[in-house]
Amino acid sequence: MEMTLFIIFALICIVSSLFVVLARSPIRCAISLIINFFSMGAIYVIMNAEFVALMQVLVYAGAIMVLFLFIIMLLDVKRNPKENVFYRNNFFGVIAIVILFFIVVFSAATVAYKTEMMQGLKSLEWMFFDGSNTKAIGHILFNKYLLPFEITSLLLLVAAIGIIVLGKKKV
Amino acid sequence: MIPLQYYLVLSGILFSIGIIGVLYRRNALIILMSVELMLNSANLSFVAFSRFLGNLDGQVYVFFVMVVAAAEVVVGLAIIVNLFRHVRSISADRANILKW
Repeated sequence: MEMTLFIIFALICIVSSLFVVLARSPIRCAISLIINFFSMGAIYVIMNAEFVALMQVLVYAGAIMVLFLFIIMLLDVKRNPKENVFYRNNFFGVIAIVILFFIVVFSAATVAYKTEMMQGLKSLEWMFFDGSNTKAIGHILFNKYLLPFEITSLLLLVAAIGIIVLGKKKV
Repeated sequence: MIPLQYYLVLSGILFSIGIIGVLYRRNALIILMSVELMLNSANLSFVAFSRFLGNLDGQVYVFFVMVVAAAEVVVGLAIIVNLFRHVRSISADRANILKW
């Protein structure tokens, strides 16, 4: 049952990511990417990582893709259809990417590990604290990773200031 | 129970498709979307290893990757809007003033 669901969502991920890369219009790419993010969220739920699935849907599909759609609407790219095509005369590039693809997939498929390292296979209690994955991640995030957490808040502040400066008409 | 290799193969496939998008498309928005695809595949690898090694640190790293990806997308889109204001086109070929 788990395997069936995983195969379905993995196929949806792969097909929608191919649509992202191959579609002609940016709107179709954005919608395919939203479908991709939702199916990745489903795969995270299959892995019992509920907080990550929640963040994926809220942040990626909910905030970043909405921003993309706003910019696509603002820029009105349909006027110049020549931009939306592939490079067609790069045969060696295609060969290089196919080789890279096979290297990556082959090395991922033949991962060998010692079974005593795979502690997560024994039980799932380590993933939940008081019955909730979010609380467990909160425990680690605010104790062990407090400094990176505060630094990412600074990063977001810097990014916000940066876009305000970049978006001004008169500098 | 799904073995670890299945998740890693899916992550590798999505990463390769993202690389195709970055290298072969000329539309700057679609290049940025392909970069997001690659970041997502890395997130999937992180969570898969966290699940199988019995360590929640991988999922905390995913949190940080998502924050950085959000900041990067926002700044990248501001740059694309600026490019559009100057050359009226978002094709990556038109951003060639610094070319020798």
